[in-house]
Amino acid sequence: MVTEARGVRALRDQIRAGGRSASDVAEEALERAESLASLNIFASLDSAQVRARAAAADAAIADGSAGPLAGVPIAIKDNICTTGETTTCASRILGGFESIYDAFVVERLRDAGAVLFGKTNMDEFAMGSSGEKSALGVTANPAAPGYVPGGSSSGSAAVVAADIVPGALGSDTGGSVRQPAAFCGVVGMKPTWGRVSRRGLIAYGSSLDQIGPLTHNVEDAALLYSVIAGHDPGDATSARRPVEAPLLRGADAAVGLRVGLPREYAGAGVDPAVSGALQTMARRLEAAGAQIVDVSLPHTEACVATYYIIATAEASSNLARFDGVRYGRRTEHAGDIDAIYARSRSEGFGDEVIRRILLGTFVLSSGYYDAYYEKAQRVRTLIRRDFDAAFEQCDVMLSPTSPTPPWRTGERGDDPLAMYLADIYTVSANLSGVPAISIPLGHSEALPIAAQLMAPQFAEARLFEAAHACEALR
Amino acid sequence: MSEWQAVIGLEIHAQLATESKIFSAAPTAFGAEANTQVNELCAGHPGSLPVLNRRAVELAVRAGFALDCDVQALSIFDRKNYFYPDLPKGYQISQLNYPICLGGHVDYDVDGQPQRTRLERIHMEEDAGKSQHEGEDPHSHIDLNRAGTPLIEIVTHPEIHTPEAAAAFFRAVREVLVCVGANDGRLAEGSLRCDANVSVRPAGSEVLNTRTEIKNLNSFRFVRDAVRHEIDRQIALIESGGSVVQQTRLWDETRNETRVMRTKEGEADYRYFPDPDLPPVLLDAAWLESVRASLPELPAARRARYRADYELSAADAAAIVDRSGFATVFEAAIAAGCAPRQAAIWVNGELASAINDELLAWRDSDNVFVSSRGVEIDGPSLAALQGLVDDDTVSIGTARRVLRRMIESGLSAAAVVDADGLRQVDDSGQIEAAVRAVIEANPDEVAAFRGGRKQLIGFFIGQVMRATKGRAKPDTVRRLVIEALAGDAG
Amino acid sequence: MAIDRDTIEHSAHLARIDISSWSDAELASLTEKLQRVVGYVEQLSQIDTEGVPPSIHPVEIGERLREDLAVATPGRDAILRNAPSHDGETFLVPQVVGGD
Repeated sequence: MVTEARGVRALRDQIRAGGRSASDVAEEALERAESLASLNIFASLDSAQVRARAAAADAAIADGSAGPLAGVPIAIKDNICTTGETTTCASRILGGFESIYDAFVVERLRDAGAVLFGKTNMDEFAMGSSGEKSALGVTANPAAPGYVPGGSSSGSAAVVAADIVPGALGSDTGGSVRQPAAFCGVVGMKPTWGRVSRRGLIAYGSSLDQIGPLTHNVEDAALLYSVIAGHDPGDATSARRPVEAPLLRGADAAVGLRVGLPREYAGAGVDPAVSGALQTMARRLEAAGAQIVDVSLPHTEACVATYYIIATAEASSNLARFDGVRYGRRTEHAGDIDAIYARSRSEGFGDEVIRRILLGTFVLSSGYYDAYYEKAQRVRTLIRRDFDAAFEQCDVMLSPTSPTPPWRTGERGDDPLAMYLADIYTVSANLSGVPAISIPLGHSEALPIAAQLMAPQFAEARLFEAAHACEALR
Repeated sequence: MSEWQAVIGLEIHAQLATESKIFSAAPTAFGAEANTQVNELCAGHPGSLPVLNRRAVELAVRAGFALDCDVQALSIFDRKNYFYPDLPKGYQISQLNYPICLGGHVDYDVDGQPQRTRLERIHMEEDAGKSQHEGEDPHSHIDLNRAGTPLIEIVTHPEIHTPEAAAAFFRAVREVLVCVGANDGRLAEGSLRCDANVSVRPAGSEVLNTRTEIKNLNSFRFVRDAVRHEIDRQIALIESGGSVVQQTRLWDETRNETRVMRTKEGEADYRYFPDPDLPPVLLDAAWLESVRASLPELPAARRARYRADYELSAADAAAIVDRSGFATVFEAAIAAGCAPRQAAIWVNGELASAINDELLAWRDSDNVFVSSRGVEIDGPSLAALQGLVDDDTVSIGTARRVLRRMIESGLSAAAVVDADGLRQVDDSGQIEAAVRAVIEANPDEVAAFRGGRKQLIGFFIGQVMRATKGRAKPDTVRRLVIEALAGDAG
Repeated sequence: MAIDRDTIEHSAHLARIDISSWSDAELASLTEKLQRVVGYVEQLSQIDTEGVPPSIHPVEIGERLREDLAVATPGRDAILRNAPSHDGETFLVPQVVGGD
C-alpha cells in the first residue's frame, strides 16, 4: 500500500535495513520541500541543520546506537520550542526568537534518532481553524488545492499530506491537530490531557493543550505517540500512568467493540457527505462484529461557548509574557514602559489573537468572572460527566471530525463565530481531556472527509486499535 | 493625640530558606551577579512550566504550625495578572481563595506587656525580580535573580494599635520563622519585608477608615518609625480638614517620612484565576503530623523554660535564646554536667565575645561553633573547661584564657592547661617566696598600705599573680599577702 | 451584560493592547465581533450549575512536587540573548517610576 511505503515505520525500516541512508532521505525531503515552497508549509527550514542531523543519524545507525525513529525526518509545529532554530508561533511578536531549551517532545524525538525537519506554519499562537491566521500567510492544502488546510496545525498536516516528511507534531487545543488532519486527508491524534508533556509547548489554553502526531496512517501515529508520551517530572500536570502499547490488528479489533454514536453530533449542519460516510463506517464496523450504541452528550451545544471562554481566559494570561522586555518584538515607537507594552503587543499580535486576548481578559475581569469564567468551569464539569456517563455504555465514540469538508481559502472571511462553530465536534475532547483521533474516510467531490474517534481518558491503546479497525474497513 | 486610635494591619513577606526557587531548579543564592540565577522559567520564556518545590511547602507548613495556624490539606495556586518589568510572566503565581494556612496568632511583649495579634492567613507565592534606576540614567535595569524565590505572605487582622507593637510583632514573627528554619532572618538582604496598612479613627470607634499601605519595610525600626510618621501624618491631615486618600507609600529613611508611590484608582483588577499549570496542593494528614512533630521548641517557650528551670534572668534567657547556636551549646553543656548558671555565664560571656571578635561562627549543620581553621567548640567542651575551674585546676581568669587558646590550637581544655603549664599553683612555699619578693621590691607601697591605704591590697595581689604567671590560686595569694603585710608590721 | 466599547477599552488597557490608533470603523468592527461572541457564550447562563464544582483541570492529578535541588542555570548570555535591549548584565526598559 502506498501509505505504508512512505510512512514513518516504512521509512524507518528501510533506513534500518540499509536500503537508504538518513542523509539520502533528508536530501530528498529537502528537494521536495524546495519544489513545494509555494505551499507555504514551513515557518522555517534550515537545510544545513537538517543535513547535519541526518549525518548524525547515519553515524548512530552505523555504530548501532540508533533509536526507534533513527533517520526519519519529522516536522515540528512552530509553537514547540527547539534550540538552534527559531520558534515563532507564526507571530510577528516572536520574530527571530530562539528558545534556549528543547521541548520535552523534542528531547524525546532527538533521543529516538528522528531528524528534526523544520518548523511548520500555523495559525498564529494556535488560534484558528483554517491556517489563514498566520503572520506568514496561509498554507495551501496539498490534498485540495484552493481550499484551506485547516488549523491551527496547518503546516504539520500539509507537510505530511504533501509527502515531504512522513510525520509531524502539532498541538491541539480545540481540534488543532484533528481538524487539519481531516482537511488534508491524514491521521491526526490528540492524547489525553497530561499524557504528553506540555513543557516547551508555547501555551494557548493550558488546561486544553496537548501535543499530538500527524501521519499517513494509524500505525505511524501510534509509533510517534509512543515516542512522545509518558511522564515528565518537568510538567506538574504530566500523568504518571504507564503508556500501554496498542495491539493493532485491523478489523479484528471491531469484534465486541461497543461504538457509541453521540446523538447530538448528528444534528443539522453536518454535511451530508460527511454523515453518509460516517454511517457507512458504522455499518461496516457492525458487520465486523462491533456493537453500535446510541449515546448522549447532553451538553454538546454548550461546548463551543465553554471552550471559548476557558481557552481565551487562559490565553489572555499565557500571552501576557510577550511584553517586549525579555525577548520578542519591542516597538520602535517607545515612550514609557506602558507604551512599550501596549504598542509592542498591538503591533506584534494579529487581529484574531488580539480578539481572543480581549475576550479572555473580559471574561476574567472584575464583575464578569463569575458569570463567564467560573460558569464555564462549572459547565466543563457537566461536560466531563456527560463523557463519563457515555463511556459507561460504549468503548469508543464515533463522530465527524469537522461538520464539513474544507472550505475555500478566504471563503469564511473574518467572521469569528462561524469559524468557532467549525470546532463543534473537536472541542469536547479537550474540555473533557479524553484522547481523540481523526482518520480519513475518503473524499467527497475530491475533498477529504474524516471521522473522529474518542476514547476514555488514558485509553489511547483502545483508541488506536479502534482507529486501526476503521482504517482497515474504509 | 489621645483621641485618635491607629489601626494597623501587617503583611509580612518572608522568603523561604530553600536552595532552589519555588517553581524551578534555579538557585536562590543572594548577592549573585545580575541574571545569573535565572533559567527559562524565571525569565518567563514561552513554554516553560512550574513544578512546586517540596521543601518550600514544608517550610510554609512549618511556619504555619509555629504560628498556630490551621494548615490546609488542600490549597490552590492562582495567577495574579498584571504587567510590570520585573514580573516575567505577566502574572505572579500566588494563592487567593485557598491559601496554605488560615488563622493563627502571635504572642509577643510590648514594653513588658503581653499581647496577641491574630493572623488572617498565610499564603505561598513567588517573589518578583528587581528593577533598579538611578539618577540620570534613562533606563531601569531588570535583574531577575530574585524572580521565583519562594515567599510566604503572613497577613494579620487589622488589630495592632501602636508603632511599637507593630515593630514588636514583626520581631516576634522573625524569631519564630528563623527558629523553625523557614527564613534566614536577614532583613538587610530583603529576605523578610513588611508592608503596613495604616488608618486612624476616633478612639472608641469601631469603623475602619481609609487606609494607606507602606511597602517594603525591612527593619524593625523602619516599621516603627514609618508607622508612627504615617499615623501622625493622617491625624494632622484630618485635623486640618483634609481626608486620607487610599495610597501606596514608601518610607524614606533618610528624610524620615513616607511619600506617595502610587494612588490607587479603586482596586486593581488582577483577574485572579486558578493556575492550570499546577495541580492542587494536597497534604496528607500523616505527613502534616510528622512536620508538626519535628518543630523545635519555639523561642518564647524556651525563654520561659530557662527562667523557670534554670533560674536565669529574663535578660540572660533572652540572650541565649535569641542568638543562633547559643541554646544548643548551653543545653549541651548542661547535659555534659555543667551547672546551668555557669553554662549561661560561659555562653553569654566568653563565647559571645569570641564571636564578636569573629573567632567563632555557628555551623548549623553540625550544631557546633567553628573557627576559621575548623576548630570546633561545643557544649561538652565548655563543660569540660568549667570542670577544670570546679576542681581548682585553673582559676576562672585562667579558664577564660584557656578558651581562647582552645580556639587557636584545637586542643582540649585539659591539653591546653598541660601544654601551657597553666595548672594552678597552690604550693604555699612557692607563693610565699613570691610574696616576700614583691614586698621587698615595693617598700613605698608597703609603707602606704600600712599608713592606711588598704586598697593597695589589689596591687600586691596583682604583682604576685604576675610573678607566678597567673597560675597561683587567687585565694591563697590573697591570704598570704594579707598575712605577710600584717606579719611584718607586728 | 453585553460587552460595549467602554468594556473593550478597559479590557484593552488591562491586557496592554494599544487600540488608540484604531479607526472608528475598526473599533466598531471589533466591538461588533466581540458582541456576537459574547452574545453567543451567554447561552451558558441558561445551564443550571447549582452545586456543580468548577473544573480547573480536565483530568485528576495527584501530588506533583520536586525536590529542592538547585541546578546550574543556562547563564546570563543565554538569558539576555533574545532581549530587545540589554547592557550585558540586565534587561533595559525606560525608567519605571514607583517600584514594585
